[in-house]
Amino acid sequence: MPYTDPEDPGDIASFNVHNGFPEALVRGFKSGFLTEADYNNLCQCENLDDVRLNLQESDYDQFMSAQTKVTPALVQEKAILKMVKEFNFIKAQAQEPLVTFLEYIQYEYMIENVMLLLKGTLSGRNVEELIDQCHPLGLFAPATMKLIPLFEASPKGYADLYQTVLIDTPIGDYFSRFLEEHKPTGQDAAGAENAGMVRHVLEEVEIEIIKNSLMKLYLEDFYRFCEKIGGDTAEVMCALLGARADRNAINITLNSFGGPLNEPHMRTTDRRRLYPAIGTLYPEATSDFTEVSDEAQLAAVLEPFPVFREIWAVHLNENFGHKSIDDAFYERDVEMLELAFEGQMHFGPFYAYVKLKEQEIRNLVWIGECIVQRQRDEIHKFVPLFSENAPWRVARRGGAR
Amino acid sequence: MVGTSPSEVLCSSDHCNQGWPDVLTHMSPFGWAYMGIAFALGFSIVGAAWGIFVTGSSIMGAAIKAPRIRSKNLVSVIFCEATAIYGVIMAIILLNKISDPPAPADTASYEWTTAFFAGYALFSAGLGVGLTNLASGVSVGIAGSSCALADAQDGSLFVKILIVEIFASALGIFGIIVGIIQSNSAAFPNP
Amino acid sequence: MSAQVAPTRMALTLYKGKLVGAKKGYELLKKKSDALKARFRAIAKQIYELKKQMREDASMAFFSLTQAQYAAGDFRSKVLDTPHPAAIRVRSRTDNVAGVKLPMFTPYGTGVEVHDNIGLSGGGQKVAQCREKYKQWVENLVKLASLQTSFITMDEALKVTNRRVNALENVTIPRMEGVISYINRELDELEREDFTRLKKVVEKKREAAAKEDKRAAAAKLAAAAAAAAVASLLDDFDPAEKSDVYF
Repeated sequence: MPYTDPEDPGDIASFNVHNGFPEALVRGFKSGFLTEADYNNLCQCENLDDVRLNLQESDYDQFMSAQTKVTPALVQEKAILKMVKEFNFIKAQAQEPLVTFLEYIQYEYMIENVMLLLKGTLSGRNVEELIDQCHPLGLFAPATMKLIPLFEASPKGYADLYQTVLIDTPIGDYFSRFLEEHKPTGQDAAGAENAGMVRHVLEEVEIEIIKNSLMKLYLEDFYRFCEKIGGDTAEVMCALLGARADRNAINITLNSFGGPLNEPHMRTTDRRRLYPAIGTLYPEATSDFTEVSDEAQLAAVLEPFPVFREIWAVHLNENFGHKSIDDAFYERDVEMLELAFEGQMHFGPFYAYVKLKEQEIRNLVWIGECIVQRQRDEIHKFVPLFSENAPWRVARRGGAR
Repeated sequence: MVGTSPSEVLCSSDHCNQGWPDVLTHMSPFGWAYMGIAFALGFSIVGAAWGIFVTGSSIMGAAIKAPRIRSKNLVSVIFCEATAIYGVIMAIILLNKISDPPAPADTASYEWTTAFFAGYALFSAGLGVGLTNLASGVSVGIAGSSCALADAQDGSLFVKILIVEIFASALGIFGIIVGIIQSNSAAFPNP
Repeated sequence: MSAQVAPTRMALTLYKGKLVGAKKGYELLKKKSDALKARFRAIAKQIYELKKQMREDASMAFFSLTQAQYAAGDFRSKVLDTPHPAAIRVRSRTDNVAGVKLPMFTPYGTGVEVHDNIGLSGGGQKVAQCREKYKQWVENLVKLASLQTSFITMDEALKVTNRRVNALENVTIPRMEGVISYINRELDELEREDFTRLKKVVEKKREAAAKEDKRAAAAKLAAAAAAAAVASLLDDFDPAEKSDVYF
């Protein structure tokens, strides 16, 4: 008998009926994260061949055995492929609503890929090359992948593209909502008009702005989906997504200083549109953000939030060779994502697994680059995963004593 | 009965249906006893199966990346299985309490009060054991599932979580002990 | 050598003139070469300094890119796909060192402000830092390119000048001196020949003269004899006697 409510993953007694196996799987994959000892060994490596040898001892095993020359980029590529393989394995075992949940995780990468394909095609790059560059976690059906970059720069081509992106891809909804927001007033949604609009948006609006607008819509949508699932999933995931939304809002504000988005008339329109309507900063702080035009004002808005106050303190100390605000956010993310594994029988671990794996790949690339560029002093500036010596754990132990 | 007057419903005969109390008092004590057996066995096995389901899916998944846990964690499945066995044992014990019903000629002289007492006792013993084992089975299953996941991450956790499982399993034993005591005082009179 | 040169005085004057010219040229070229060498060394030193500095700058720039990619993800394609007008352009002018034209490149900002919001949702600061570092690096790179081109041009010019100096010093001037000395020798030879010839002539003349003298003497003797005879005659002569005889 099919599920009466497809959004219900079940409670503590019934979750395992459909999701026990994938959850155990994802936890199994979690044990494949590099350990403290692995990181120590990696940091001692003299060259990338040593790195490869050390990785063979870990869960990565023979993932690079076919390569003759090791580069950080190659390590990244292969590590991503490994993650995607594991992700797809989990997805193959999943049932609703877990499948939808996993697809939501993929949407983020799909947005990146669509942006890459569209912009790449507009600047006349090779289709195959573009498809090779796409993140393998965000691939559509091969036919659609090929179709997107093949559009012509004619009204009909744009209309076709509108059709392809809006209807044939799962993230079309975000695109159509984004276009709706950018539609000049007094236009109806007829095909030709839409084609013109797509063209206008693609050619005029900056790629990062489109991406961040889509990400905002995506985060909100994912948030609502998790709320609908309810239970522990909602509790864990909403916190994680909220944290991400907060991070985005702060970063967008901070990084727009000195740019056109910081112009007074842009602050209340374009920049405001990028703030996700979720998270702890929404709505009071995000509406204050629209008034903010320099770092001191931003600091004042963040003052009432202890978490962000700490992160801001890191930012202020950045010039003294300490961590940057990005490192601080990464650390907070990892800390929260690790917590998702603490509870059982919810979907948090699936999301956390992908995100932590992403961080691990970032760490690997970082270590690899540091080795290649002989930056020994900087090599330890990555965020360790599930480590007893993680900065926040050390801080907490220090506080407890 | 709809549309009829109360006077038509009420009848003066001893065997007339007077409402729910009638159902309880007019059911055969043998019926009660067998229903108790059915509940004991059925609920226990539902609990066990549920527990194995919950544990099994986790063990399967966790054993993919950590195959060493596969035989150790069968203990969790066995704990679940135990609740089914409690149900079976209880069912057999209860079954042994039942003697043959009186021959039609002896019905008048049969000790119906004792028989009813035995019937109710066996029914409630069976239902109690069934429900406790259901709860015990599910909780052993959930603990077992966690046990498998924990063991896969860190082998030293196995014994610690196994203790939790033993406590969950003990819930079923409480039920069975009370059930046995309850059913001990009950005996169908020999015809 | 220079067998063709006619060892004439005119050729000698010509070659002497040439030699003076060559020596003058040699001195001038030597001066040019020294000037170039001094500049060349200065450039080499600058290149060394700059390269040493750039090695550090480069590693810092590349590392800041690593940092930016760590913070903002892989933004390569985003940069590639959003074409901007160049923010830095290179202006080329020529510098003249001792007649050698050196190309000089100077970078200048076009005033294009790049605001593509890369890393907007994270890592934007790092990207900005990275951009700064690379900008500085590119400026240094242009400087280095300018120096390096100068270096090569200079090297070429220096080589040519040195070759010329050496050619003048070791080939042309000795050759001219050779020619001059040859001409001198030939002229001397001629002179000596002339002298000998002259001597011979004189000798001959003297011989002839001697012969003449002898003959003259003989003639004189004869004349004397004749005179004696005459005297004797005269002795016999009596002017008064012979008043019709006139001398």
